[in-house]
Amino acid sequence: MTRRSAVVAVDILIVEDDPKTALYVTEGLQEHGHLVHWAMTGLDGLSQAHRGIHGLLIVDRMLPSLDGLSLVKRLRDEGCTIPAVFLTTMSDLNARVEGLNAGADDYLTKPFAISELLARINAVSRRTRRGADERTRLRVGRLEIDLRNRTAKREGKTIDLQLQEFRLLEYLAHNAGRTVTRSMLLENVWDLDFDPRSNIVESHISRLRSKLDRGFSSSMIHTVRGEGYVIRAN
Amino acid sequence: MSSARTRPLQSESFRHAAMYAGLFAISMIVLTALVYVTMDRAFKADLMRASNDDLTSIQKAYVAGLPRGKGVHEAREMIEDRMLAPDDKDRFLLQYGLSERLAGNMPAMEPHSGVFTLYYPRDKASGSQATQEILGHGIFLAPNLYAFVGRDTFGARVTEQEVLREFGWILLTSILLASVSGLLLGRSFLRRIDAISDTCRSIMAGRLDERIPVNGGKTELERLAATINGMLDRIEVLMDSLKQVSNDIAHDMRTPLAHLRYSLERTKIGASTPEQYRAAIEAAIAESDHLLEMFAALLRIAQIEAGARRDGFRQVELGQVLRRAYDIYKPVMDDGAHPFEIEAHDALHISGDPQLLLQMVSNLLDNAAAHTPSGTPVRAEAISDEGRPAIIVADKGHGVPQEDREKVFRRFYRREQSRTSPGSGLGLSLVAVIAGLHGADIQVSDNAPGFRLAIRFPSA
Repeated sequence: MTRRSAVVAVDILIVEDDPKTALYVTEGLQEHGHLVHWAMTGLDGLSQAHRGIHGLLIVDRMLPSLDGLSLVKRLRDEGCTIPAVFLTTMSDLNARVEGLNAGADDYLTKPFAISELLARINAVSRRTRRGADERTRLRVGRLEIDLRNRTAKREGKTIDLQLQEFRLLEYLAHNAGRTVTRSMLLENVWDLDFDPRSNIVESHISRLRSKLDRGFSSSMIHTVRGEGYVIRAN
Repeated sequence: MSSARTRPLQSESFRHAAMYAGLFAISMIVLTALVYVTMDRAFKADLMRASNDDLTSIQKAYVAGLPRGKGVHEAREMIEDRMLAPDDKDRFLLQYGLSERLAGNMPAMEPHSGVFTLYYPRDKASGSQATQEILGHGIFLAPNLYAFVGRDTFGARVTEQEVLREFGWILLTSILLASVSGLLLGRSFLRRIDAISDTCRSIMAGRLDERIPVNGGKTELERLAATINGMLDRIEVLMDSLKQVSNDIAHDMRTPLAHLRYSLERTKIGASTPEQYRAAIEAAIAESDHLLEMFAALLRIAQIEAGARRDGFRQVELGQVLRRAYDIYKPVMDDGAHPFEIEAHDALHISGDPQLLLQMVSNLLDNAAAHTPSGTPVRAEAISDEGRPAIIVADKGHGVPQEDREKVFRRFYRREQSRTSPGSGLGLSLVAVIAGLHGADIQVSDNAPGFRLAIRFPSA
């Protein structure tokens, strides 16, 4: 497998009290071109975040001196908009909602795969830089998506999509060029907080793919084995 | 062990009996006092009437004799007549001046009129040390002539004291009886209590199947015993299911862990090329992912069982849940060539958690898709069943034999045919737990052919 460099290198601060996890994450992210700093306690993380040099926060929930939820809440109360991702063993039914309500941009439960974390970091750091134009219109190469009218055209040819398919395409296009994982799709397209046994993502993707590619020689949606899916212009 | 027992004298019931005996004694004493006073009054009143009659006769005799100058004589005669009567308790006195006794059977005294009581030492002859107590009435027949009629009340006192003594005995006997019956009652009460604490003690020692002996009576203790037995039955069932779950976890988690270990060991011995190592590592990751999924599902079941999501209950429209599930599952069913249709009625409102309800339906559809041959029709309904909102999922597959229908909800239960297909054996357990959280009941039936599962919610 080829090692890709990060699409955009980000200076990441990880606040995590378990050195093993911190090392696993740090190595994984550095391998993909990101710069990583590490804080072991909540208060340490807060003071480092105050320096304002980091582009993204990865925060554990259970931390010494200041728990992760309070840390993110405090930063948000201070008006800090740095993207934040929770990385935690707390998998309570309501934990994810709690985390997002506290102001985090994403919530990932341990154990996790580095590829999953990377995909989420890419999505989150991109989401925060989204231009105003992107709220109404998305463009991936010669694919055009009109968010207001819920229509999609490839090289001028209208593609007939159902609501679920449109939402799937929209999410992929928002993250064009970046791999999105199965669980990211389940959470963001179908709003599911559980993982169904059936391959619903695969089924929907293959439907969307066949609609999108009908009459064209090249496929836009690619499967990244063991990681997820990506939509690309070429 | 016996030190932990309550002895009869310390028992609650004995204390009650003693208290009642005390109260009884007090009321007996009050009663006795009342009887005594009443008796004394009646006796004295009788005495007064008799004395008065006598005194009146003496006065009449005196007045009758006066014209003939024989007043004193007539009065003395009358007294002496009366003294002939055999009653030795009557006392008479006719006295002139301050000390001259003219007639009578008592010594002269300082005369004063009215009713009063006199006390004298008893005669030597009667041999008694007690005082005489003479209650009587004195009047002046003439300025220097004093007449007194009285009666020795000693006999009455004796009677009164005898009555008091009788009452005393009655009091003593009744207190004794109350104490003994209290002790006996206490002992039978204690025997029941001891039976209960013996049972509790042997349960504490680990014999969970012990029960308090009951004889089917309707007393408070019998009912208490029956209630405790019911509680113990429930606890035993829960303990058994907990034991079952831990055994299942131990067994079902061990198998994939063992597989993981075997394949890693085989790789260590047999693999030589990077490709072989990569394949082995990928298999190991997949195997551990499977284990993690099982843990996640178990955790979720436990959290739902603990009612973590009940706070988030809100009005949910069952038809909407089913339509959403249809949108999500239609492509999956298409891939398996399952004809898939739904019938979703409107206005089926229940109080619930929309995410969990969607997961419940998803699990049922997952099952239908996974456990039926390709091409098997699947049908889901959100309808009103006997007035209750219901979700029904049915397929036309092989179905589940009657004897296995209850087992499908057990954790890790997988029928032999499905052992080879992927899955944790937790899907239907999760369905049962979510249904339970919503107060719904589940009915499994034969879809002739196929599997039909109906979840009926409480009507709003």
